[in-house]
Amino acid sequence: MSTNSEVDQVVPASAPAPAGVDEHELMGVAMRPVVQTPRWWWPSVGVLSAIVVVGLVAWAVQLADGVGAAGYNNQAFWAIYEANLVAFIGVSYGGAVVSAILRLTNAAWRAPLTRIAEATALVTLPVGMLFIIPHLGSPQKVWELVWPPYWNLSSPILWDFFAVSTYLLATLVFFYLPLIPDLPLARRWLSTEATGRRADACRWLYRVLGGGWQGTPRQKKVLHLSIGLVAIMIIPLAVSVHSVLSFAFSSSSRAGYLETIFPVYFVVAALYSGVALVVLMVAAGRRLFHLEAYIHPRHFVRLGFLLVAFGAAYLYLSFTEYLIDGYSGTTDNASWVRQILVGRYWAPFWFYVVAAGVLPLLVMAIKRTRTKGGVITVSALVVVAMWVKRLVIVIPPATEPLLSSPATPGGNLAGTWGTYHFTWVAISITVAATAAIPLLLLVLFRFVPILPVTEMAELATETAPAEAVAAPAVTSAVLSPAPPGWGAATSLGRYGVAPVGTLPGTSSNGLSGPASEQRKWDR
Amino acid sequence: MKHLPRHYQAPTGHSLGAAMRALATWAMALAGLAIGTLGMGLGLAAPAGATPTATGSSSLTLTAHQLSGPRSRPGAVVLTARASGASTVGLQVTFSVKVKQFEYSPLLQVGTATTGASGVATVTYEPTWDGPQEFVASAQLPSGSQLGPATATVSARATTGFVGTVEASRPDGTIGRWVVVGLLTLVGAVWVTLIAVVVRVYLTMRAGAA
Repeated sequence: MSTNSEVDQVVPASAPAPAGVDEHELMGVAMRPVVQTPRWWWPSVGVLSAIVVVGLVAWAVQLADGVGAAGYNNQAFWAIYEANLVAFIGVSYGGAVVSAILRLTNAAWRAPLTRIAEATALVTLPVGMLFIIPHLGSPQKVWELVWPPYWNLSSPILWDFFAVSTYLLATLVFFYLPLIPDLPLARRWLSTEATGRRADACRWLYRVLGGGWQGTPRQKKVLHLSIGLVAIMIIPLAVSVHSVLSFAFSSSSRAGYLETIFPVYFVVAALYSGVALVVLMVAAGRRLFHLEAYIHPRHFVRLGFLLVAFGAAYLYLSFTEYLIDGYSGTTDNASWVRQILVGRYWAPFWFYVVAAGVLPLLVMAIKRTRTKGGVITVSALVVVAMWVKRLVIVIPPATEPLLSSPATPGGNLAGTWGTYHFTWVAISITVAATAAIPLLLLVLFRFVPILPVTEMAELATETAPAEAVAAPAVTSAVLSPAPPGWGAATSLGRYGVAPVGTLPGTSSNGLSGPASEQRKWDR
Repeated sequence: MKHLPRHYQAPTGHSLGAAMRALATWAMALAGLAIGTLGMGLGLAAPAGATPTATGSSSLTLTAHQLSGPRSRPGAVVLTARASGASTVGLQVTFSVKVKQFEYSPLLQVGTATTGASGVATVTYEPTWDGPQEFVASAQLPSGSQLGPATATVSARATTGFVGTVEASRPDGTIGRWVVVGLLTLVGAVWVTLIAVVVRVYLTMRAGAA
């Protein structure tokens, strides 16, 4: 439901129609996190940093005491770190691929979201990669993993290294290329609007990274082709990453891991949880940096549809997996499926089914709940529930006893199920990694504009003539003054406040309304 | 053998030291939520780690010997537990082997078996390493008290290698080799393409600046 105050403040006037975006003013909004330090910034960074430090202390304790400190034991040889590795790398998938898909399909409404989505991918991927270190136990094993004389080309773990490192490079390039046109603009903006050492440092950084950009037709052509190429490449790369991650399970001989469905299963899970995290990061960025004029409730609803599409696919794949394994007629498979459905692991499994399986579908199906708040709520649930689901994938097969004895003929399982014990060490490291994501994003956006200003301007300008006829102009009166702590009020200009759903004629949920009233980046 | 601090043995954190407690307070709050939700940290003691107690006139003895076989392929180790005393039939005997891989639970359960009419329960175990190996057996009497532990040591030779050290077989040697070459080439091509894209954009920018 769109209850934004902007709706009431719109001036449906006969004022001159917008002819384009004032990039300088828009850059002022995008550079707020760079030049201004709101009151919450330092406390937030301090708390998040403290959590990360506690995680490092916990890792040091594990180094001293061994992986038993993380709750690993003979009958739980894979557990929380492997689940974290899959989950964190998975969420990075969402930012990059969603941005790539929306670019390739020319979905103009993506524009205000892409920078945050790509930044989310950029920071979550290295954090996820680091989980291989506590998972392996001794750090020197990482060296043995990556140094060519030690390569074991039959090991999926080695191919994980190839795939993830390649994906990291692609994510970095995919973040950098769309940033280039904004850098000279940001540098000019800083020259006129900001002073100080940090402004000087940012100007230097922008000159180094994008100093030669002048926006000539040839430069634009080369850049657009390059972004398109990387957008195409990053999709199969991300698919390969999660396929190879799943090979570590599916190429083993253990029941519950030996699944041919796993590569697709992992890819869809990554997309699902990744879109959910993008929703959360976009919501946080919108709220903290006051981007309400650009990121509208409609964006969340559209991301919500994307979310449930992946969620429905994942639910179907889960059903398929458990159905086939449960009725396979093999004792070991039926055993772990039973433990998941009604046995010792029923609680986390059914938590996933409710929180990430059924609830998102219901929320998006019911008009009253198909709102920004609804999408954000289910996204938070999906991120948590999909992490839990990774634990359900990793732990039950690892703890299943696979021993036979004369007393249990016919392949019946002997022995007892193992138990994974959560410890403060493992949880501290997990929470530290979680805290590292917003921390890195806060730091990253101290140095780069949070909105893709040039891209938004280009997309808006492309439709300006058509809108000049039909679209009511929106004056800067729509914009409230800059919030407390953000300094002087900033006028965003006519186009700057042209997100759809804030204009007369749009529905309460922002899903309908005259197309002529929509700016292209919201289509 | 070095033992882990007690607080690793349960996820509740109740026995943390003062310094550690302060450090881990925030984590425990989240852990409580996670554990309660997940139902995974059930707080169950590792079954093989419990210390059984002998009762009454019943007793349990354990013998272990490796079946003979070719030198290249020795047989499995047969573990035979014999219960004697008042109640010897239908007891479930748990067999474990002492391991050193994880210090958290030094006893790795290798199987369970039920005693027959003669009070004997047997399991077979295929050693995965050479040398002396100590086995432990224990059982629970109908009264609820525990019988054992009984121990036995045998110097055995491995019948199977540790799976993690065996290179997986490939469907076909030639195809497998070319798959590896092809995949590595593909990875290299992606790296070259990504770097070339950035270099090209950079050169275009420099040309524009000039």
